[in-house]
Amino acid sequence: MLRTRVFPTLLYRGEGLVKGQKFTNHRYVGDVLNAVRIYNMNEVDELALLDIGATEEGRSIDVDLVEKVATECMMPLAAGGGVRSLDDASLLIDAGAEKVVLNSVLYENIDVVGEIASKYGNQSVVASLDAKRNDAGGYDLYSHNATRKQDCDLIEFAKKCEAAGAGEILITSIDQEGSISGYDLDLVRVVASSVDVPVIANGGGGALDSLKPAVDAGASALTAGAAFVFFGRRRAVLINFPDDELLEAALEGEPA
Amino acid sequence: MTDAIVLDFGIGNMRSWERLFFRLRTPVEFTKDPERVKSADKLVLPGVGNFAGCMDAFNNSGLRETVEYEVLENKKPILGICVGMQMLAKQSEEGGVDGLGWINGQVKRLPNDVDGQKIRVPHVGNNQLTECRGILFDDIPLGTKFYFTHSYYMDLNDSADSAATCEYGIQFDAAVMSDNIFGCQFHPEKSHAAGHKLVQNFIEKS
Repeated sequence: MLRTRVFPTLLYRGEGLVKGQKFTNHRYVGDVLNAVRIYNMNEVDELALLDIGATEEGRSIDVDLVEKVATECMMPLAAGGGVRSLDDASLLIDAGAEKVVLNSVLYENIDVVGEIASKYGNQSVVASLDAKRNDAGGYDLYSHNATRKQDCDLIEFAKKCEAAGAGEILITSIDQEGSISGYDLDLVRVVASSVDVPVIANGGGGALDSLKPAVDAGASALTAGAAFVFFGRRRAVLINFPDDELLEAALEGEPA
Repeated sequence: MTDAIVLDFGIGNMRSWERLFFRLRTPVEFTKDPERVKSADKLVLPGVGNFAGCMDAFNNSGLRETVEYEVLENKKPILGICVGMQMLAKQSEEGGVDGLGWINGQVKRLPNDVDGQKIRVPHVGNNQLTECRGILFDDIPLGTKFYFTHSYYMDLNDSADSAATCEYGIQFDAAVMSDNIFGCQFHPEKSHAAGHKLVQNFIEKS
């Protein structure tokens, strides 16, 4: 049986890993290679590394950084942050990333999805959508680290990414991000039911009791940041990942 | 000491192979040089992305003739990975082009729908093998998980060539084995300890 993927998404800015809440108030949580070594020991399914300063600074995630992380990683690596072109993607894939994560560029030049997919296969392109609940009960899409509202419909846009060649949709709840209080299940449901490619749930999840509900809502994979870098109510920094047996039980819905 | 080479025709993620062989303490080289293909003991044929693109790159690499001779005439062991395994087949639905034709099978797209149930393609993640046999899987228990990421699969004409099967909507051949020719659809270089063991088996036992 295919095991639902559960993996950390690490945010990088400046010189190291950071984590915040609702896309703001980021603080330093440690060295990236140290974190990768810990996740290696836990045999995590994948790892995502996103440079959240890149788009703002008009550059792509640092290729040397990706190479260092990929060399250490014993699992597939998805890299993103400021990726705007096939050339940007090629550099990351040559540096050892298995997948590239696209976000802001999707709203400006969706064709880049197809360009990367036809060279490296659609399994190598992850379309990352950041959504926020609106007053009308629906969702608005945001780009540029949740600072720029996009005037397009969530479902239509997810379908557009799929049609363009994205092999996976990473859906992040801006409201839930960093909260460790559970995934936005409506958001997961809406996106998962509108596309046929795997959907990765992000934002608010990672605690053991958050996993099964998101799978039931249609997620094929689950990722989280805060839950795997913080410990306890005071959010002390602790790179951590649940044991395989605990994960398996949680995915089956057995109480922890 | 076994001399393994990974065929470098501009496709595939060489870094992950580099670190896998480093961890196995087996020297490895990445080469486009036909002379090295002749002198090496074992060949690895990587492949990611588009079938037609991979075949095109391989056909234009200047390696094909030598690799074909070494594999078919000198029976040099070769391990195809992911699209590299698919390339061993006769042809693929992806791009409608011919493969190497060393394994009697064809490459088909995974179905999006099985008995009315939605199957999300690509198939991505760690999946358990439903059957496995042969030297690649020595000391690898049935049920071990390997990392898959693919939209197409190998459909063998002769089940005797199957080394492993896996289930994702349908049962498909996850690894192939015919004499000195081996392949796996999953990525051993991304499958932690079990993947390393499989490559070690190929190096030591093929």
